[in-house]
Amino acid sequence: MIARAFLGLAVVELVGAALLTLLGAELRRWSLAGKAGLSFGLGLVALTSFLFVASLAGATPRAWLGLVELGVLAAAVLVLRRERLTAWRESPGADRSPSRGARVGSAVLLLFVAGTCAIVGATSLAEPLVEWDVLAIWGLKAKVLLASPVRATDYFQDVAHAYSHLDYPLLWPLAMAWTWACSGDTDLLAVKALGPALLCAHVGMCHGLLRRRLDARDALLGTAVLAAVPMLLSQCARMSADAPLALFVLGAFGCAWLWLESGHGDDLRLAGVFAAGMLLTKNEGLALQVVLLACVAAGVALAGRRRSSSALGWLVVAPLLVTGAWFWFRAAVPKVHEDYGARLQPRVFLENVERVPVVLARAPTYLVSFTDWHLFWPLVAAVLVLTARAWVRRTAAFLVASVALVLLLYAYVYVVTPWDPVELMETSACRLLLHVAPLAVLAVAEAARAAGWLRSSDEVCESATW
Amino acid sequence: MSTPPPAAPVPARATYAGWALRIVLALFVGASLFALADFVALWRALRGQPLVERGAIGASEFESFLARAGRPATQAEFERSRGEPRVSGAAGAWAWAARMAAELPPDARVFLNVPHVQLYYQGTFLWFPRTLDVVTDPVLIRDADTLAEAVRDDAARTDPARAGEVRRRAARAGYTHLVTTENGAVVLTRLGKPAPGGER
Repeated sequence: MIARAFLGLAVVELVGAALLTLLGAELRRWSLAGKAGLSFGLGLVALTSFLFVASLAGATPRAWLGLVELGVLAAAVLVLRRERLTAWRESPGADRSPSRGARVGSAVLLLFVAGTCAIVGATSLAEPLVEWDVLAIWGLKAKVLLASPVRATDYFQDVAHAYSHLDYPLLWPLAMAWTWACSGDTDLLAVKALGPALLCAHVGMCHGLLRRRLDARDALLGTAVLAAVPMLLSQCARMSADAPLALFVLGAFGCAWLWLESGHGDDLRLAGVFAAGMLLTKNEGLALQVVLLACVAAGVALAGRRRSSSALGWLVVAPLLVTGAWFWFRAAVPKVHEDYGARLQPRVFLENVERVPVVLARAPTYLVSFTDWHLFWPLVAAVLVLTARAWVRRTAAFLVASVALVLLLYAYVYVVTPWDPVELMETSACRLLLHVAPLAVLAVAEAARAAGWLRSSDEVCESATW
Repeated sequence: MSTPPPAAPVPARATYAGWALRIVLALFVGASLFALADFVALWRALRGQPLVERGAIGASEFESFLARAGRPATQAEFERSRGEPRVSGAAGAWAWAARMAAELPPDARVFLNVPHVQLYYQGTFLWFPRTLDVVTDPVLIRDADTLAEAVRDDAARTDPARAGEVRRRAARAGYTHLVTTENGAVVLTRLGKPAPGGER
């Protein structure tokens, strides 16, 4: 059953690979691990969007549906973009004549990353789905979607299930439903195959983004740092929806930043698809999309380049097209929980302004939680402060500002929440921090590269400044 | 792709800082071996166990570090009470609901007369597509408080002497099974006669 679940995930990867081939004119700029990581993220967005539309049309997730989508995309690649397939064999080359020490170091790091994925994967697959909020919110939706099309079930109107957040997006439940559809049963172990696959996608995508800016050895070191973050490992193993959201945040912000650097359409197109992934994974995706647009708008303005129409098309229109069906459906779902859209008003913030010191005083507890982060956040802060003069007038500032704005936004949410902020922070703060942790790795790497502390890849043009 | 400009010489200070950063990052990576050791220990505890036992271990904040992840206060409480025998409500609910899933027929309709939020969440998921209701009328259940409110005003549901009345009402409403407590233990009974193996 687990083997069939992995076959289902192979279909996700292939759907994403086909989409990457259609969207990317210069795939050789990405490392092979990067291409694999990007493909899994793209595949999750493409497959689950398709399954949702099929569900609206009256079909439940079945293996043949995914194979049909894969067939159509593969045919499109063969007919329209066949010449790009050769680029899958090409990637940024190895460092020129590395020393013996560098070779050994790289081998150790590679072994560490592969070993981490294997150990976390084995543990994840040994433990059934048990995290109570994962099964109460995402797992229940997955079973509902597998049993009946969205318009035929009364689940989305049943307030007795309000605890499962009826209006939460369906990408992650549909990914679980797809795994179950392929494995042939709602097996509590087979669905956990998603956990290690997601961790591998994180590692691959992070390497791909880092390798675009750093030499091979430093890109691998940065990737190992991400793979060493305990909170990422635990949330992938437990199938928390925050882990896929973090993947899409990394993809959307990372590719948008690369586009500001390179001006290459490939990067913008990928950012657009990953932005749709953010919107389809959790309600926080809406806020993250606003931050992304604000940061890109500022980046375009500061760069003084006329690229706003293409950015508007790929970062606003494309995500709207991909997510339109979901938001149309969601409009009819009762909102019985906190309505954060309305509570974000400054008036609500001012009414609760006495909570600001409470939230600020509690925040360090989560940032320095050694069990969950080791010293990740203090390390991020230290590098960014020490390299500030080097990155502040470069596009790396986009990454730093993105991380900072998202964290400020989440702090704001704790001030306006209708719940007790201290209780809410205890259960959610580390998960929210996870959303931007992979992006923080990218920010640190770029800041260190800008300061000359880490070595650049051949692609980097040092003249890119604001 | 842009042609790279000639490499500018890197100042010695930046080179030293770069090596210092690499060493710090390598130490950070090395520290994660402790986290991986926790994963290996959990894997060894799970290996070879039946599914229900694995779930009970995984769901227990006292037996699985993953169940405490991201919750510093829970982690601190665990450290304070390390070694003391503790029972996890979430693990108990998961294991009981998982065991009962094998007993329930596919078309079962279960009435939950125990205002235990974990039992409601876990039972709803693990027994799906069978229905599990805590009240016969549609009512908003958002969390443990709203679940408790839903049953609070019904005196028959909290009075053990009126258990028969609850059984009759549930049967009349079309439920095939009832979850209730007897002598402190959660019990699943078929409405009409007890379900085999339904007692904990």
